[in-house]
Amino acid sequence: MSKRLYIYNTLTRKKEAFDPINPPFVGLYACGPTVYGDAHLGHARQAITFDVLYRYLLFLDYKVRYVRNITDVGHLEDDADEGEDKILVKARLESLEPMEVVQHYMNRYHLNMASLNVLPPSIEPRASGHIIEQQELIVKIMEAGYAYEVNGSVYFDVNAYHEKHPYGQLSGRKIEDLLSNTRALDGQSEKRSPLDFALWKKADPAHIMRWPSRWSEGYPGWHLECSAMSTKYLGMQFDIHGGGMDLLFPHHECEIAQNVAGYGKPSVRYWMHNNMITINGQKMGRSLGNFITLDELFAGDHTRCWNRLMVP
Amino acid sequence: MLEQAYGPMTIRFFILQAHYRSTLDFSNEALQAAEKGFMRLMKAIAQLEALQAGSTSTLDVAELSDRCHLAMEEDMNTAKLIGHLLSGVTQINNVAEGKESITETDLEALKTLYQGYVFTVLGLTLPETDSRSDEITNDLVELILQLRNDAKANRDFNTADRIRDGLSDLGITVKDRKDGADWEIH
Repeated sequence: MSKRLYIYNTLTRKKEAFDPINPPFVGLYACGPTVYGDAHLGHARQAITFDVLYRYLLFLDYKVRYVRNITDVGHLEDDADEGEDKILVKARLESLEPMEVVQHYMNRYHLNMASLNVLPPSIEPRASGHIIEQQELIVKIMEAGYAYEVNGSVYFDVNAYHEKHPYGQLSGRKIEDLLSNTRALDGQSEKRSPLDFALWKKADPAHIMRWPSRWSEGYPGWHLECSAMSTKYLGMQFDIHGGGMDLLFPHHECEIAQNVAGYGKPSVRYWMHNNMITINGQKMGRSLGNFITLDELFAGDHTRCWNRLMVP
Repeated sequence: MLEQAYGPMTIRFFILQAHYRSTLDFSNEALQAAEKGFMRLMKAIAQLEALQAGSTSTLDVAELSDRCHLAMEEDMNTAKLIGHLLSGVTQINNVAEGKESITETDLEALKTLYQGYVFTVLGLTLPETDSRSDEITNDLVELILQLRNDAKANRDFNTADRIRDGLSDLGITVKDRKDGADWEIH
């Protein structure tokens, strides 16, 4: 059978012939879930999309190392690095240790994926297990001059980066447009520009998910884990990075900037993004409250969600 | 929002029926259609095992195989792939009904094609059936129909009709024959 495969590369906006860096090996990384709630249809679509890609590459006789992460720290409620860690909020609500929340929803995610016959990845790294690797990357980015420290937190300097490397290539966004569409920083902000994003955040006294670092007791920024873990297991250059379209910006855009800033060049050859599940034309998502979990679908019972919507 | 339960394989099939770069709108109608399509595909695969080979082929298995390969080659178009596999189902059914024929070699190639794409690549699995409870269901319906026959033999048509209507409410249709009754679960 011919091994031809054409992949739509989000980065170039073109279908490209798939040409692995080191055949017959293929390195594939896909963003996994942030484990603070039950998996819904949107999670299923992302997992199944990259499961079929993984299966098809194996079917074509490639030797595939498939890495799919678990986000168990650093994913804040708000993209602007404000708000609380999603897992911490859930832990407080349920009077649980954050790692109990993580374990609980990770186990349930695995059960759901097994029901859907989604193959387990070759490696499933967790962000909290790679704090040292993330700190090492921050040091590299700072040494290269693309990050600054304020009061124990470290931020990526998007403007400094953009002077040397184009920022916004993946999402096709222009810095000027982004700036005019972003709320101006208030006087409280530690950031030099609203486009800057956290690499390390100093923990408030109430923030219990914290690790020591040279900057402060704190926790890594959300975008950092994928940069650190993908390259740790797949090498400085690898073939395919996948994820849902909702992760394209800012998550993947920031990931590219981190890799270029820290390692000197981009790591990913082909970026692939699956589209969203809609319900009555609107995106289905946990934050929108219109999601249906997989367990509800399997049981045919959606009352829990209605209850939740009625009792805010 | 949910009219019924949907099995994991129905959901997998529903998701794969769209190309991954298109949006996919959730609705009960769409999931029910996916369930039908999935069952149709699975029935055809079961039927493949029972097909009798003939001396000539009216099916072009190589051409179907090429189309499937091309669909996946073109940015992993599972929507097109499933379309091709379902068009093949029509032909499999035709062979089963004697309207088309297939040689031994082509039949083996067709089996390999469906096994490869449906199970290995798309990752679908045969729907879970609980054979023990299926067996009990069968025996129970047979027992009830036996009692209904006895009622009819005793000219107790009231009871006989109550049994038939009760089964109908459960989604079981009873068709009376000269020598007993056939039944079917919907």
